[in-house]
Amino acid sequence: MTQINFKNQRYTVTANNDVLTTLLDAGEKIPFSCRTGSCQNCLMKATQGTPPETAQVGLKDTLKAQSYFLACQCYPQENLEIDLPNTIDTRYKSRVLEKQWLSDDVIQIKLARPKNFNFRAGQYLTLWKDEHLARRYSIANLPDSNELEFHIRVFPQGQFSSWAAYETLENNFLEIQGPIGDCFYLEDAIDADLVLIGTGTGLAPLQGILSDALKAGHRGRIDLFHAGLNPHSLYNTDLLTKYASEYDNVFYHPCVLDKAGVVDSRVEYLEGDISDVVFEKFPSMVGKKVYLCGDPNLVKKLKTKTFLLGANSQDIYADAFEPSHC
Amino acid sequence: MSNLYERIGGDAAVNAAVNIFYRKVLSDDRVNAYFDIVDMDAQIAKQKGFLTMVFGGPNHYSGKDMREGHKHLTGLNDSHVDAIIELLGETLQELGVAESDIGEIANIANSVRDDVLNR
Repeated sequence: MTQINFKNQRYTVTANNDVLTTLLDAGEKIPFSCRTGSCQNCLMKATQGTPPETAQVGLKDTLKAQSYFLACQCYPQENLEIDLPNTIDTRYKSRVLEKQWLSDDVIQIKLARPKNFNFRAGQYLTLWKDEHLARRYSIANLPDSNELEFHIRVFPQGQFSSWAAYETLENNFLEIQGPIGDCFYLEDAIDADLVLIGTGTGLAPLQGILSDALKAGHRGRIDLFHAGLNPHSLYNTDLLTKYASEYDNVFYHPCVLDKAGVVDSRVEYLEGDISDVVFEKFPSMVGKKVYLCGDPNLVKKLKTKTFLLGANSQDIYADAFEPSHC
Repeated sequence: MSNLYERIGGDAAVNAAVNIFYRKVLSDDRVNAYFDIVDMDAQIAKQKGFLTMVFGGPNHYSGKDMREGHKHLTGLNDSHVDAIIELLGETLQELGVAESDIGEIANIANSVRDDVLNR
């Protein structure tokens, strides 16, 4: 008999009983549907202890890596502390170190990484301005740094982004909450060809994923597409061009709808809709691992197209930036 | 002789089939309008449930679930069910499943036809 701890309540899992049944019988509200391990509605996360492998069958590798499991298939072999997915209550205070403009409408801010705040490159977190206003942003750098780097698109009417852009932030403390997200690099992908596609500040998580892959000594090919309206809406082109020249297996493809007359001998812009441009270059996506970040409509479109062109659903990692409604 | 689900490879067969099958479904103009692709991972999970059922595997899908799950889809008729069974057969052929097993799987799929069409 093992015990599970859920929201500070302790439950005993009796022999031949699964975690879902145990929690439901105790009156806890846990989403579920099929109870056979296929619908994945009862997805939960172990925050302490290791869930049995049989409770992780069929889950995406990035979920397994974060100790996610299916409650209906979970017959624990050891005591577990568990929670529902994407609920991380702990907040950390973090000092703003610096701020700079990356393009006409994107700022970069760097925060001090709090001790004990661990994440995987490509994940995101919630940044709190105060008790009433918060936004989610992706972390653009690697976890071994003492900093957390964010790219924030500035909207003229954006409550959070215009505050971040135009007020003095340096040395202020912000609260951060997270990390969340299952769009990141795992070392078993070391020989696979990776295709990274981001629109706007969707570059932030991809920059983290790219750095992570390079740090792991990635051996497959890496193609990074960064899409924007015109050359002025892209940023970090110098940094990405440098990566591409330093690493033989890295290819950087800045992609714009309209070149807007910009001529830059150092950067070769592809012109057209990103969802056409990528697949003109890669008519087959069989065997590739694909990372999609940014505008939700484009992410959805690219996801479907990538899948139809042969990528397995398990190999498509997506982070759609849903707009805020407050 | 082992049962159908074990014979064709169990969970591994479901995982192999789901990508091929769902890719065929999304590419087929006869049926793709009925598949919501907003959340592809959720759809893949649903299709895995369906495949586990028709492969004779352990599942808790009942006729009532199939009825509830499809009754909001207007214009659904026999031709759509036929198309799905056809795509299922093509998927299994690609995976080298024996013709007799494909027939058995088609029969299971066919057995929920009236539930799916809410009649």
